[in-house]
Amino acid sequence: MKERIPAIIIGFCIPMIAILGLFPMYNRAEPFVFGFPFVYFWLFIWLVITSLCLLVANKIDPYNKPDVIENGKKTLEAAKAYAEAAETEIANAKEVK
Amino acid sequence: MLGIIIFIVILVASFILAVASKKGAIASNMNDVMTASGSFGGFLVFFVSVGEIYALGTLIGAPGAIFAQGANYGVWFIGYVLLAYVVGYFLNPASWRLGQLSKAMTLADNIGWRYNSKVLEVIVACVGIGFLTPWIQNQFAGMAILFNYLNIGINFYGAVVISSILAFVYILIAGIRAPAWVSILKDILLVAAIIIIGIAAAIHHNGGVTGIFQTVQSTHPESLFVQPGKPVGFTISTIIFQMCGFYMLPITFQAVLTSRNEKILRENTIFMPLYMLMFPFLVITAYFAVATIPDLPNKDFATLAVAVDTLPNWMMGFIAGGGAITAILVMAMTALCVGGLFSKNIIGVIRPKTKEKTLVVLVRVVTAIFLCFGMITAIYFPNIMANVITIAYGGLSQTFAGVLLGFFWKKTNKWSVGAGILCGVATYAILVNMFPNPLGLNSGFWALAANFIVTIILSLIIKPDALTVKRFEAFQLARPNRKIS
Repeated sequence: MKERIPAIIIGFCIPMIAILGLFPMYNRAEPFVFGFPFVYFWLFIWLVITSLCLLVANKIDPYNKPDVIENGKKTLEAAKAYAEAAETEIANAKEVK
Repeated sequence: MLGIIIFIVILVASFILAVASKKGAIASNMNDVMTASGSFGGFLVFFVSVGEIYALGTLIGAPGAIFAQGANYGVWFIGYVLLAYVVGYFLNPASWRLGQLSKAMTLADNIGWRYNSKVLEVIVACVGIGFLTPWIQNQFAGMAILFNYLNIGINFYGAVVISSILAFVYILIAGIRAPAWVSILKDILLVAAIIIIGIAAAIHHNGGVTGIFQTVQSTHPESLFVQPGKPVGFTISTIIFQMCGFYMLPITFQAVLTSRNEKILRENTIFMPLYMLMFPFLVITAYFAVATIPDLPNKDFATLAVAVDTLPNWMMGFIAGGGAITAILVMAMTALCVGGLFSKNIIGVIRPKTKEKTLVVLVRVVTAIFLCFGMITAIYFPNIMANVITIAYGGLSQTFAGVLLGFFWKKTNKWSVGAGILCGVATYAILVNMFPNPLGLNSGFWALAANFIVTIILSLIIKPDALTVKRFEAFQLARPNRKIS
């Protein structure tokens, strides 16, 4: 979790603040930019900026590192085995009762 | 005449794509019908996602609603879809990972497995089916608007019957693979139609985009931004609860399960907001209608009225074809999800001995029944277009609390999550019918808040059963960056 914080800030917090937090500031018709009321202009540029934020988040997210992805295949298999073992164990315990 | 030929060519092309998608499909395998055995790469996952997200509601509903309600609607729609991708970046890979552990084919599988409860699985399936009904009705209503207004030589009833049959045939041919491939055609046509209508509107007005908004500012200045006071709270609260609910829709969740790995899901979110760059064209179309035809009796006709006013006649076949294929695709995906939820998570639970083959057949039968049902409701109630999305979200977003908390809180259990979902749905139903939007905030927002409160309180009081705890631990063990000793 800790090592993902930069990705969370850039990929999650920044777009959330831009759209929800700053709402009272950008919710206005004027100034018109490229002909659009300001509120629409703001949303439209944030389509592009959010995409950039997610691009950066993808780059710095430790979960996207090749070695983590390889490791992830192993952890997933281990987790599957763990879940199955737990299931049989609990089913057996019930039978004993 | 040319219009109808273009329309037919588009439908035939979609059919050929559906047949071509059959390669690799296993008709008797439930997992393959519902998730294409989780075999899609980034390209198809992207198209199967956007394929069902941007429906007739985008082409017809959005400009219609902006036309009727101004920026209140426009800001809400663009805001919630955009932020939903931001939520999805973090949520979807986790959902996918849980899906690997639970061998999920539907949303209900994931939740039922995590909380070790068949009853919860059935509850989630029932909520899903119930609130997908307005979704499919919305598609048919959109078709009614499309064919009644464009008048390309096929009436609404004919179009609805052809579309429903095609939607069913897609699913019959290759399960979810067909909608995924057809979606490529559908999205090209939909985006092209949106951009063409937007550009035509800008060209037809003196002064282009600037001119359109200047006219609107002198005639309807209040429609250019969200009005201070109650509309602000309503817009923000709606964005928040719908961005949470976005990937809880059984149809969007289904796209997550088709992915080959979780990296694809993260990378796709980069392109999702760029795909939304078609929205400026929808906004232009909507405000062109405000500026030039403010007295249009049915606001839902806005997009089509602008198209008819600004484009040559043969283009109507193209728009009708693109619109129809959009509706068909969303119908097909919605009906497939309902089929999966009903067959696997309701019949499969009530009669656990049912063979997989029978369940797969049942998916198709339910798909057909649901399409017929949608067709009938649309013929009797063809006019409800606006606000239907919010009703669907009001119910479908209620699974969010259980899914989110289930990822990192050991204490959540079947009782707390089940009670939370039921409380959320009940709160929504009561508020919408009796006290809509208390304090100016969307009823759906209150419902999701009530859901979270109930889930958290009951999780603190009631202990999870042993297997639920083990499954929580298994999910933590699956974390890709965990060091394996």
